[in-house]
Amino acid sequence: MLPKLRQYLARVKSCSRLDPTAESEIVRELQTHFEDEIGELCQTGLSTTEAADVATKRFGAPEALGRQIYEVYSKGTWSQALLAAIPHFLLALTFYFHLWQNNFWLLTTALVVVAVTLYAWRHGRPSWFYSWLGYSLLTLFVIVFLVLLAVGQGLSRFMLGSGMQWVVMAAYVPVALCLLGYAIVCVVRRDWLLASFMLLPFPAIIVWLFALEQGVGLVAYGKGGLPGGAHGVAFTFLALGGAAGTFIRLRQRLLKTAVLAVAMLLILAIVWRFAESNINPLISLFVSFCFIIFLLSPCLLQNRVVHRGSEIEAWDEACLGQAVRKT
Amino acid sequence: MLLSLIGQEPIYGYQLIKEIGKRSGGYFQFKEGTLYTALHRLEREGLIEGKWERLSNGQERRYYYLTKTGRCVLDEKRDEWRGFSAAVNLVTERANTG
Repeated sequence: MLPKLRQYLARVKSCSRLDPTAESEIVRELQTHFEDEIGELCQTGLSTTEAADVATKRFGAPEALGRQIYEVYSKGTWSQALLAAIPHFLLALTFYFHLWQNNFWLLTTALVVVAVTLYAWRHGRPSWFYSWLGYSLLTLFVIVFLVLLAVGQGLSRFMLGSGMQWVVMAAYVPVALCLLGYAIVCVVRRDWLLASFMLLPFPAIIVWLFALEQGVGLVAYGKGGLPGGAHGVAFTFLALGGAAGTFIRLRQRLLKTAVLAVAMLLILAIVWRFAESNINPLISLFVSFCFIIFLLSPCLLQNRVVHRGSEIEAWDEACLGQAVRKT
Repeated sequence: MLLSLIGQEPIYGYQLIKEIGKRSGGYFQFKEGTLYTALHRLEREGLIEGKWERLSNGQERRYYYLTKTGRCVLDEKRDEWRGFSAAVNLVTERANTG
Protein backbone atom coordinates (compact mmCIF):
# COMPACT_ATOMS: atom_id res chain seq x y z
CA MET A 1 0.00 0.00 0.00
CA LEU A 2 1.15 3.57 -0.67
CA PRO A 3 2.71 5.23 2.43
CA LYS A 4 0.29 8.16 2.17
CA LEU A 5 -2.70 5.83 2.26
CA ARG A 6 -1.23 3.73 5.04
CA GLN A 7 -0.72 6.86 7.16
CA TYR A 8 -4.24 8.07 6.40
CA LEU A 9 -5.86 4.75 7.32
CA ALA A 10 -3.70 4.45 10.47
CA ARG A 11 -5.00 7.85 11.63
CA VAL A 12 -8.59 6.86 10.88
CA LYS A 13 -8.06 3.65 12.88
CA SER A 14 -6.55 5.41 15.90
CA CYS A 15 -9.47 7.88 16.07
CA SER A 16 -12.27 5.39 15.43
CA ARG A 17 -11.24 3.09 18.36
CA LEU A 18 -13.20 0.15 17.00
CA ASP A 19 -13.06 -3.51 17.89
CA PRO A 20 -10.69 -5.48 15.61
CA THR A 21 -13.46 -7.07 13.50
CA ALA A 22 -15.29 -3.83 12.67
CA GLU A 23 -11.99 -2.01 12.21
CA SER A 24 -10.61 -4.45 9.62
CA GLU A 25 -13.97 -4.42 7.80
CA ILE A 26 -14.08 -0.61 7.54
CA VAL A 27 -10.40 -0.23 6.65
CA ARG A 28 -10.81 -2.85 3.91
CA GLU A 29 -13.80 -0.97 2.52
CA LEU A 30 -11.97 2.38 2.55
CA GLN A 31 -8.98 0.71 0.91
CA THR A 32 -11.14 -0.59 -1.97
CA HIS A 33 -12.54 2.92 -2.39
CA PHE A 34 -9.02 4.35 -2.67
CA GLU A 35 -8.06 1.60 -5.16
CA ASP A 36 -10.94 2.62 -7.44
CA GLU A 37 -10.38 6.33 -7.09
CA ILE A 38 -6.59 6.21 -7.55
CA GLY A 39 -7.05 3.93 -10.58
CA GLU A 40 -9.43 6.46 -12.13
CA LEU A 41 -7.22 9.45 -11.30
CA CYS A 42 -4.17 7.72 -12.79
CA GLN A 43 -6.08 7.35 -16.06
CA THR A 44 -6.34 11.15 -16.20
CA GLY A 45 -2.53 11.37 -16.21
CA LEU A 46 -1.68 11.74 -12.51
CA SER A 47 1.09 9.71 -10.89
CA THR A 48 0.05 7.27 -8.13
CA THR A 49 1.45 9.60 -5.43
CA GLU A 50 -0.44 12.60 -6.82
CA ALA A 51 -3.57 10.48 -7.18
CA ALA A 52 -3.24 9.32 -3.56
CA ASP A 53 -2.91 12.97 -2.46
CA VAL A 54 -6.08 13.97 -4.32
CA ALA A 55 -8.01 10.90 -3.11
CA THR A 56 -7.16 11.47 0.56
CA LYS A 57 -8.05 15.18 0.27
CA ARG A 58 -11.45 14.28 -1.20
CA PHE A 59 -12.03 11.95 1.71
CA GLY A 60 -11.61 14.70 4.30
CA ALA A 61 -9.50 14.86 7.48
CA PRO A 62 -8.76 11.35 8.83
CA GLU A 63 -9.31 12.47 12.44
CA ALA A 64 -12.78 13.82 11.62
CA LEU A 65 -13.65 10.63 9.73
CA GLY A 66 -12.36 8.47 12.61
CA ARG A 67 -14.44 10.45 15.13
CA GLN A 68 -17.56 10.13 12.93
CA ILE A 69 -17.04 6.37 12.65
CA TYR A 70 -16.55 6.21 16.44
CA GLU A 71 -19.89 7.95 16.97
CA VAL A 72 -21.64 5.49 14.66
CA TYR A 73 -20.33 2.47 16.57
CA SER A 74 -19.97 3.83 20.12
CA LYS A 75 -23.62 3.53 21.07
CA GLY A 76 -24.42 -0.06 22.02
CA THR A 77 -27.81 -1.74 21.89
CA TRP A 78 -29.94 -2.44 24.99
CA SER A 79 -28.85 -6.07 24.97
CA GLN A 80 -25.18 -5.00 24.91
CA ALA A 81 -25.88 -2.63 27.82
CA LEU A 82 -27.45 -5.51 29.75
CA LEU A 83 -24.48 -7.74 28.96
CA ALA A 84 -22.12 -5.08 30.32
CA ALA A 85 -24.19 -4.77 33.51
CA ILE A 86 -24.56 -8.53 34.19
CA PRO A 87 -21.19 -9.15 35.95
CA HIS A 88 -21.90 -6.24 38.33
CA PHE A 89 -25.41 -7.57 38.96
CA LEU A 90 -23.98 -11.05 39.66
CA LEU A 91 -21.85 -9.58 42.42
CA ALA A 92 -24.82 -7.55 43.71
CA LEU A 93 -26.82 -10.82 43.94
CA THR A 94 -23.91 -12.53 45.67
CA PHE A 95 -23.93 -9.98 48.47
CA TYR A 96 -27.67 -9.29 48.66
CA PHE A 97 -28.50 -12.98 49.22
CA HIS A 98 -25.38 -13.64 51.32
CA LEU A 99 -24.07 -16.06 48.69
CA TRP A 100 -20.51 -14.86 49.16
CA GLN A 101 -19.99 -17.64 51.74
CA ASN A 102 -21.35 -20.29 49.34
CA ASN A 103 -18.33 -21.87 47.61
CA PHE A 104 -20.40 -23.51 44.87
CA TRP A 105 -21.98 -20.17 43.90
CA LEU A 106 -18.61 -18.39 43.96
CA LEU A 107 -16.94 -21.06 41.84
CA THR A 108 -19.81 -21.11 39.31
CA THR A 109 -19.85 -17.31 39.07
CA ALA A 110 -16.07 -17.21 38.58
CA LEU A 111 -16.26 -19.86 35.86
CA VAL A 112 -19.11 -18.05 34.08
CA VAL A 113 -17.21 -14.74 34.20
CA VAL A 114 -14.02 -16.28 32.78
CA ALA A 115 -15.94 -18.27 30.13
CA VAL A 116 -17.88 -15.21 28.91
CA THR A 117 -14.67 -13.16 28.85
CA LEU A 118 -12.90 -15.78 26.71
CA TYR A 119 -15.92 -16.07 24.41
CA ALA A 120 -16.11 -12.30 23.89
CA TRP A 121 -12.32 -12.14 23.42
CA ARG A 122 -12.56 -14.59 20.55
CA HIS A 123 -15.61 -12.86 19.04
CA GLY A 124 -14.33 -9.38 18.26
CA ARG A 125 -13.97 -7.89 21.76
CA PRO A 126 -17.13 -5.72 21.80
CA SER A 127 -17.36 -2.87 24.33
CA TRP A 128 -19.34 -4.90 26.90
CA PHE A 129 -16.45 -7.40 27.01
CA TYR A 130 -14.33 -4.96 29.06
CA SER A 131 -16.83 -5.07 31.89
CA TRP A 132 -16.31 -8.85 32.11
CA LEU A 133 -12.56 -8.52 31.64
CA GLY A 134 -12.33 -6.40 34.81
CA TYR A 135 -14.00 -9.17 36.81
CA SER A 136 -11.88 -11.87 35.16
CA LEU A 137 -8.77 -10.00 36.28
CA LEU A 138 -10.22 -9.76 39.79
CA THR A 139 -10.89 -13.53 39.74
CA LEU A 140 -7.32 -14.13 38.65
CA PHE A 141 -5.98 -11.89 41.43
CA VAL A 142 -8.08 -13.70 44.03
CA ILE A 143 -6.95 -17.14 42.78
CA VAL A 144 -3.26 -16.12 42.77
CA PHE A 145 -3.73 -14.60 46.24
CA LEU A 146 -5.28 -17.81 47.61
CA VAL A 147 -2.63 -20.01 46.02
CA LEU A 148 0.18 -17.84 47.42
CA LEU A 149 -1.52 -17.78 50.81
CA ALA A 150 -1.65 -21.59 50.81
CA VAL A 151 1.97 -21.85 49.65
CA GLY A 152 3.08 -19.35 52.31
CA GLN A 153 1.21 -21.21 55.02
CA GLY A 154 2.69 -24.53 53.87
CA LEU A 155 6.22 -23.17 53.85
CA SER A 156 5.89 -21.52 57.27
CA ARG A 157 4.41 -24.67 58.84
CA PHE A 158 6.86 -27.23 57.51
CA MET A 159 10.09 -25.49 56.74
CA LEU A 160 10.91 -21.85 57.11
CA GLY A 161 9.08 -20.31 60.05
CA SER A 162 6.11 -17.92 60.23
CA GLY A 163 7.86 -15.01 58.46
CA MET A 164 7.82 -16.88 55.13
CA GLN A 165 4.06 -16.37 54.74
CA TRP A 166 4.53 -12.59 54.67
CA VAL A 167 7.47 -12.81 52.25
CA VAL A 168 5.34 -14.77 49.79
CA MET A 169 2.45 -12.33 50.20
CA ALA A 170 4.80 -9.36 49.70
CA ALA A 171 5.79 -10.83 46.33
CA TYR A 172 2.11 -10.93 45.35
CA VAL A 173 1.52 -7.16 45.29
CA PRO A 174 4.11 -6.23 42.59
CA VAL A 175 3.12 -9.26 40.48
CA ALA A 176 -0.56 -8.29 40.66
CA LEU A 177 0.23 -4.64 39.87
CA CYS A 178 2.39 -5.63 36.87
CA LEU A 179 -0.39 -7.87 35.57
CA LEU A 180 -2.97 -5.11 35.99
CA GLY A 181 -0.62 -2.59 34.34
CA TYR A 182 -0.09 -4.91 31.38
CA ALA A 183 -3.84 -5.41 30.95
CA ILE A 184 -4.43 -1.65 31.13
CA VAL A 185 -1.77 -0.93 28.47
CA CYS A 186 -3.27 -3.59 26.16
CA VAL A 187 -6.76 -2.05 26.47
CA VAL A 188 -5.47 1.54 26.21
CA ARG A 189 -4.03 0.68 22.77
CA ARG A 190 -7.64 0.57 21.60
CA ASP A 191 -9.29 3.17 23.84
CA TRP A 192 -8.38 4.58 27.26
CA LEU A 193 -12.07 5.00 28.08
CA LEU A 194 -12.55 1.23 27.81
CA ALA A 195 -9.61 0.72 30.18
CA SER A 196 -11.34 3.03 32.69
CA PHE A 197 -14.56 1.09 32.12
CA MET A 198 -12.69 -2.16 32.83
CA LEU A 199 -11.28 -0.72 36.08
CA LEU A 200 -14.73 0.29 37.39
CA PRO A 201 -15.08 -2.45 40.06
CA PHE A 202 -11.55 -1.99 41.48
CA PRO A 203 -12.13 1.26 43.42
CA ALA A 204 -15.46 -0.11 44.72
CA ILE A 205 -13.78 -3.20 46.13
CA ILE A 206 -10.84 -1.24 47.56
CA VAL A 207 -13.08 1.28 49.28
CA TRP A 208 -15.29 -1.45 50.76
CA LEU A 209 -12.27 -3.38 52.08
CA PHE A 210 -10.99 -0.13 53.59
CA ALA A 211 -14.38 0.71 55.14
CA LEU A 212 -14.83 -2.79 56.61
CA GLU A 213 -11.30 -2.78 58.00
CA GLN A 214 -12.02 0.60 59.60
CA GLY A 215 -15.17 -0.90 61.20
CA VAL A 216 -14.97 -4.20 63.06
CA GLY A 217 -12.04 -5.42 60.96
CA LEU A 218 -11.88 -7.68 57.92
CA VAL A 219 -11.05 -10.83 59.91
CA ALA A 220 -14.12 -10.34 62.14
CA TYR A 221 -16.29 -9.79 59.05
CA GLY A 222 -14.81 -12.91 57.45
CA LYS A 223 -15.88 -14.98 60.46
CA GLY A 224 -19.21 -13.36 61.26
CA GLY A 225 -20.43 -12.24 57.81
CA LEU A 226 -21.59 -8.77 56.83
CA PRO A 227 -24.81 -8.21 58.75
CA GLY A 228 -25.44 -4.59 57.76
CA GLY A 229 -22.76 -4.04 55.12
CA ALA A 230 -23.89 -6.81 52.73
CA HIS A 231 -26.79 -4.76 51.40
CA GLY A 232 -24.50 -1.77 51.04
CA VAL A 233 -22.04 -3.83 48.97
CA ALA A 234 -24.95 -5.17 46.90
CA PHE A 235 -26.22 -1.64 46.22
CA THR A 236 -22.71 -0.59 45.22
CA PHE A 237 -22.53 -3.27 42.53
CA LEU A 238 -26.09 -2.53 41.48
CA ALA A 239 -25.04 1.09 40.95
CA LEU A 240 -21.99 -0.09 39.00
CA GLY A 241 -24.26 -2.23 36.81
CA GLY A 242 -26.44 0.79 36.09
CA ALA A 243 -23.38 2.87 35.28
CA ALA A 244 -22.00 0.14 32.97
CA GLY A 245 -25.29 -0.10 31.07
CA THR A 246 -25.53 3.69 30.71
CA PHE A 247 -21.90 3.85 29.55
CA ILE A 248 -22.63 1.40 26.73
CA ARG A 249 -25.81 3.22 25.63
CA LEU A 250 -24.17 6.66 25.38
CA ARG A 251 -22.67 7.92 22.15
CA GLN A 252 -20.47 10.88 23.19
CA ARG A 253 -17.15 10.28 24.92
CA LEU A 254 -17.59 13.21 27.29
CA LEU A 255 -20.85 11.77 28.62
CA LYS A 256 -19.27 8.33 28.99
CA THR A 257 -16.44 9.88 31.04
CA ALA A 258 -18.98 11.75 33.17
CA VAL A 259 -20.85 8.49 33.88
CA LEU A 260 -17.67 6.89 35.23
CA ALA A 261 -16.96 9.90 37.46
CA VAL A 262 -20.54 10.00 38.77
CA ALA A 263 -20.39 6.23 39.45
CA MET A 264 -17.37 6.83 41.69
CA LEU A 265 -19.17 9.51 43.68
CA LEU A 266 -22.22 7.25 43.99
CA ILE A 267 -20.11 4.38 45.31
CA LEU A 268 -18.56 6.62 47.95
CA ALA A 269 -22.01 7.87 48.97
CA ILE A 270 -23.28 4.28 49.32
CA VAL A 271 -20.23 3.20 51.33
CA TRP A 272 -20.57 6.27 53.56
CA ARG A 273 -24.25 5.46 54.14
CA PHE A 274 -23.94 1.71 54.79
CA ALA A 275 -20.47 1.16 56.31
CA GLU A 276 -20.47 0.58 60.04
CA SER A 277 -17.44 2.79 60.54
CA ASN A 278 -17.40 6.55 60.98
CA ILE A 279 -15.60 7.77 57.90
CA ASN A 280 -14.72 11.45 57.91
CA PRO A 281 -16.63 13.26 55.09
CA LEU A 282 -13.49 15.18 54.15
CA ILE A 283 -11.54 11.94 53.82
CA SER A 284 -14.42 10.50 51.75
CA LEU A 285 -14.25 13.49 49.43
CA PHE A 286 -10.48 13.14 49.09
CA VAL A 287 -10.79 9.38 48.44
CA SER A 288 -13.49 9.94 45.79
CA PHE A 289 -11.25 12.51 44.10
CA CYS A 290 -8.34 10.01 44.14
CA PHE A 291 -10.54 7.29 42.66
CA ILE A 292 -11.78 9.54 39.87
CA ILE A 293 -8.14 10.34 39.06
CA PHE A 294 -7.31 6.61 39.19
CA LEU A 295 -10.22 5.77 36.91
CA LEU A 296 -9.30 8.42 34.37
CA SER A 297 -5.53 7.78 34.55
CA PRO A 298 -5.53 5.52 31.43
CA CYS A 299 -6.15 8.78 29.49
CA LEU A 300 -2.59 9.92 30.33
CA LEU A 301 -1.26 6.50 29.40
CA GLN A 302 -3.00 6.65 26.03
CA ASN A 303 -0.87 9.62 24.98
CA ARG A 304 2.29 7.62 25.71
CA VAL A 305 1.05 4.45 24.01
CA VAL A 306 -0.20 6.29 20.92
CA HIS A 307 2.98 8.38 20.82
CA ARG A 308 5.05 5.20 20.89
CA GLY A 309 2.91 3.78 18.11
CA SER A 310 3.47 6.83 15.91
CA GLU A 311 7.21 6.67 16.63
CA ILE A 312 7.26 3.11 15.33
CA GLU A 313 5.30 4.24 12.29
CA ALA A 314 7.76 7.10 11.67
CA TRP A 315 10.66 4.65 11.97
CA ASP A 316 8.86 2.33 9.56
CA GLU A 317 8.44 5.23 7.11
CA ALA A 318 12.14 6.16 7.43
CA CYS A 319 13.19 2.55 6.69
CA LEU A 320 10.89 2.52 3.67
CA GLY A 321 12.39 5.81 2.47
CA GLN A 322 15.94 4.45 2.80
CA ALA A 323 15.01 1.29 0.92
CA VAL A 324 13.53 3.37 -1.93
CA ARG A 325 16.69 5.56 -2.11
CA LYS A 326 18.93 2.44 -2.25
CA THR A 327 16.96 0.93 -5.14
CA MET B 1 -31.33 9.76 -1.25
CA LEU B 2 -28.93 6.96 -0.30
CA LEU B 3 -31.78 4.56 0.46
CA SER B 4 -33.38 5.39 -2.86
CA LEU B 5 -30.22 4.63 -4.85
CA ILE B 6 -29.50 1.44 -2.92
CA GLY B 7 -33.14 0.42 -3.38
CA GLN B 8 -32.81 0.57 -7.16
CA GLU B 9 -29.94 -1.92 -7.25
CA PRO B 10 -27.21 -3.22 -4.92
CA ILE B 11 -24.31 -0.79 -5.07
CA TYR B 12 -20.93 -0.17 -3.40
CA GLY B 13 -19.55 3.07 -1.91
CA TYR B 14 -17.47 4.35 -4.81
CA GLN B 15 -20.25 3.60 -7.33
CA LEU B 16 -22.70 5.41 -5.08
CA ILE B 17 -20.61 8.59 -5.06
CA LYS B 18 -20.25 8.50 -8.84
CA GLU B 19 -23.98 7.87 -9.27
CA ILE B 20 -25.00 10.73 -6.97
CA GLY B 21 -22.61 13.10 -8.80
CA LYS B 22 -23.89 11.98 -12.22
CA ARG B 23 -27.61 12.09 -11.43
CA SER B 24 -27.46 15.44 -9.63
CA GLY B 25 -25.33 16.96 -12.41
CA GLY B 26 -22.56 17.58 -9.86
CA TYR B 27 -24.92 19.46 -7.50
CA PHE B 28 -24.30 17.17 -4.52
CA GLN B 29 -20.63 17.24 -3.63
CA PHE B 30 -19.50 16.16 -0.17
CA LYS B 31 -16.45 14.77 1.55
CA GLU B 32 -16.34 11.13 0.48
CA GLY B 33 -15.56 9.97 4.02
CA THR B 34 -18.93 11.18 5.24
CA LEU B 35 -20.68 8.85 2.79
CA TYR B 36 -19.20 5.81 4.54
CA THR B 37 -20.23 7.16 7.94
CA ALA B 38 -23.78 7.58 6.62
CA LEU B 39 -23.78 4.08 5.10
CA HIS B 40 -22.57 2.49 8.34
CA ARG B 41 -25.15 4.46 10.36
CA LEU B 42 -27.92 3.16 8.07
CA GLU B 43 -26.52 -0.34 8.42
CA ARG B 44 -26.48 -0.09 12.23
CA GLU B 45 -30.11 1.03 12.10
CA GLY B 46 -30.93 -2.09 10.07
CA LEU B 47 -32.06 -0.17 6.97
CA ILE B 48 -29.35 -1.53 4.69
CA GLU B 49 -27.03 -4.51 4.73
CA GLY B 50 -23.45 -4.70 3.43
CA LYS B 51 -22.05 -7.85 1.81
CA TRP B 52 -18.62 -8.48 0.30
CA GLU B 53 -18.87 -9.67 -3.30
CA ARG B 54 -16.26 -10.59 -5.87
CA LEU B 55 -16.20 -8.62 -9.12
CA SER B 56 -15.41 -10.23 -12.49
CA ASN B 57 -11.80 -8.94 -12.24
CA GLY B 58 -11.32 -10.82 -8.94
CA GLN B 59 -11.46 -7.71 -6.72
CA GLU B 60 -13.89 -7.59 -3.82
CA ARG B 61 -16.30 -4.75 -3.06
CA ARG B 62 -18.81 -4.22 -0.27
CA TYR B 63 -22.24 -4.04 -1.87
CA TYR B 64 -25.15 -2.51 0.01
CA TYR B 65 -28.65 -3.98 -0.11
CA LEU B 66 -31.89 -2.48 1.14
CA THR B 67 -33.52 -4.49 3.94
CA LYS B 68 -37.28 -4.90 4.47
CA THR B 69 -37.23 -2.21 7.16
CA GLY B 70 -35.21 -0.01 4.83
CA ARG B 71 -37.82 -0.47 2.08
CA CYS B 72 -40.64 0.61 4.47
CA VAL B 73 -38.65 3.66 5.64
CA LEU B 74 -37.87 4.56 2.02
CA ASP B 75 -41.58 4.43 1.09
CA GLU B 76 -42.45 6.65 4.08
CA LYS B 77 -39.72 9.16 3.21
CA ARG B 78 -40.80 9.23 -0.44
CA ASP B 79 -44.39 10.01 0.57
CA GLU B 80 -43.15 12.71 2.94
CA TRP B 81 -41.01 14.23 0.20
CA ARG B 82 -43.82 14.13 -2.39
CA GLY B 83 -46.18 15.85 0.05
CA PHE B 84 -43.56 18.45 0.96
CA SER B 85 -42.51 19.23 -2.63
CA ALA B 86 -46.17 19.37 -3.77
CA ALA B 87 -46.95 21.85 -0.98
CA VAL B 88 -43.90 23.98 -1.88
CA ASN B 89 -44.94 23.95 -5.55
CA LEU B 90 -48.47 25.05 -4.68
CA VAL B 91 -47.21 27.95 -2.60
CA THR B 92 -44.61 29.13 -5.11
CA GLU B 93 -46.97 28.77 -8.11
CA ARG B 94 -49.63 30.92 -6.40
CA ALA B 95 -46.97 33.47 -5.53
CA ASN B 96 -45.86 33.57 -9.18
CA THR B 97 -49.37 33.90 -10.59
CA GLY B 98 -50.46 36.39 -7.90
